[in-house]
Amino acid sequence: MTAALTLANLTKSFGPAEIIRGVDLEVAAGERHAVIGPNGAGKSTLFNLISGAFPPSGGQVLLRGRRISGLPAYAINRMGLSRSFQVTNIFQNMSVYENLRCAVLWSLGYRYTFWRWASRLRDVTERSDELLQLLHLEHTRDTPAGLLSYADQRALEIGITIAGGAEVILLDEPTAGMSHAETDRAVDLIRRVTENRTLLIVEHDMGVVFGLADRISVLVYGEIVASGTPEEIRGNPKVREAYLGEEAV
Amino acid sequence: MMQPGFLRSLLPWLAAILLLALLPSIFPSRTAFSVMNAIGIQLVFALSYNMLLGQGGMLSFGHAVYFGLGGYGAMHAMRLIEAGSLDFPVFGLPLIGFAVGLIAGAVIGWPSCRRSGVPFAMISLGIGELVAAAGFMFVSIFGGEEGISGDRMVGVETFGLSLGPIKEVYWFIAFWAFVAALAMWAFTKTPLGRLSNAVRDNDQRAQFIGFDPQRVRYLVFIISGGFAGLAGGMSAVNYEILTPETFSALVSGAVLIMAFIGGIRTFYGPILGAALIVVMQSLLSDYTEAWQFYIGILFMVIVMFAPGGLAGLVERVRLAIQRRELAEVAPTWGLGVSAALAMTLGMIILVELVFRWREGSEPMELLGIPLSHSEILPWLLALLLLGLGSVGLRQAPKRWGRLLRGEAP
Repeated sequence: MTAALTLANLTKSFGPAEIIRGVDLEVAAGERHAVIGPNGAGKSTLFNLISGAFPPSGGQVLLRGRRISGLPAYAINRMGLSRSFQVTNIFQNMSVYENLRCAVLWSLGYRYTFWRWASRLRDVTERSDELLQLLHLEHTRDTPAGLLSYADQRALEIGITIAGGAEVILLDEPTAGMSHAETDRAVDLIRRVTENRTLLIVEHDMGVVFGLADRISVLVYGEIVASGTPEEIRGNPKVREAYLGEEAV
Repeated sequence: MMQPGFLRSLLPWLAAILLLALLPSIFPSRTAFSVMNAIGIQLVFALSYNMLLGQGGMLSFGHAVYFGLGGYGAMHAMRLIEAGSLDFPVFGLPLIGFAVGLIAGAVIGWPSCRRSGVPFAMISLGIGELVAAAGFMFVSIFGGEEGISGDRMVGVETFGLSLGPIKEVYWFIAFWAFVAALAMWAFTKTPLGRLSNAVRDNDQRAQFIGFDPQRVRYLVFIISGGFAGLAGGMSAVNYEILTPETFSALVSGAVLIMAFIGGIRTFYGPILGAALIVVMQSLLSDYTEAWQFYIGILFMVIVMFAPGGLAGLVERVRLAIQRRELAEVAPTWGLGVSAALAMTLGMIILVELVFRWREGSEPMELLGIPLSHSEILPWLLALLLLGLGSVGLRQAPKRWGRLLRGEAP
């Protein structure tokens, strides 16, 4: 069976600086896979390469066996890969509901449509109502997204990301900056919305990572130094050294 | 199925029909008709501009291009009708303007919509200058400095309008202003209209929900060009003349100012802006040489202190009424408004005094009170008003802040 997402010898340089130095990774369909690593390891760059925010310098990204590296971001999104951002990236001046309605449009077949009333697309309404419920954002339906609390904005961010029904979801530090209680709710939400989907997640909170992930990869200076189940990673001395900065005894 | 909310949103349009029908009886003078016709043209132009700026987040310095090309298209068609080689009613000429504007938008938008933000603004400025220069070069098309003129009383009549007297032209303008405004409003309610807001807010996010922001901008640009061209077509019929001046940066700047003063965050804002600026242009210029200065000051004050424009202020009052806190906030707003009025008055007196002192025209009279620039008292009055106004304007936000915090003002 082809993997949901395959990275093959992926590299990225900015001028002379090589940020991603040959990453190989396979994420199986339905797997929840976490990428961890110290600051500056290139985790966000890796996400940007996979999602098409910018093209890789070398190597390939395959989505269910089809090459997506080099395609523009919107084309990758249409093929079934969607992502969230580390810094909240929503439509600030639009209501929560309109944010979600826009996010489901493409997947329901509405392209650059200007011959129909946006508010009367019944399938869009149904799907958006569902999402609103799933995200527990009903009470903020008509609030401009920019005025939501931080945690609600993060929830909306996840909502926009999954709205189009993409099979592969990339979440970039979804719980960063959250309190304990908020983190618990966010993890619960992530678990629910990625049911039966493939998840690749970058996260700093080790509690979240070890609680959520089926497999973990450790990225250090642009290379994956270890990949395995949470147990394997926890026991891996190389990981402890590189990630926790402990010198090997 | 009609939702009640949808029906309610149509109410303002019914009110607009009523207003358009009543205006000729309220303002029956010839001057009023020429002002109202100009407002009708400019409001369509300003709304089309706001499709770019307010709805799509595209700052253009060259929107006159589409207005002008649409106008010239309509004008040439009008001349063809006159020559008998085109069978088309003059009443429908704005449609020709619309088509020409669409085509111009499609051609010029193709390269310019590949960029957003500052590069887009720069490209629009460059293309504006380019077309303005071409306007004077191609005399056979644009008529050189004299421009080209036509006669609107030709061809078949529509709705029994000969379009001769300005009164009849009013109905033509009212019809097209209403239709165009309604169509542009409807556009904001379509998926593409919503997506243009999405791209304005966050074009990166728009990509990651599957849409190409370039494509969204391009389509909005084409449609906006079409409506600017429609306004140009209205103008061709109304004035029966077009000159290459129509393409100038002045016209592009004026539409920006109208949209912004009216308010770019609401649909109806540019309508208010167009009405105010046209009225100021045509009436104020009878009273003072410094009328352009006042428009400039107004623009700057809006940009700095009320970025929501006139419509933003209207919306604020509406919100206060909705929340039933008008009585609570009224004294503070009253203070702010009176202070602003005092400052405005002081500024006007000062400006007019300075102007007369330097240029030596007749002493001014304000509300029947003679204010001579050779005496000291009017100068002191101006400074006093400015001082009082600025103190009041400093107090108002403090009271406002206390009010927001729930303290006694």
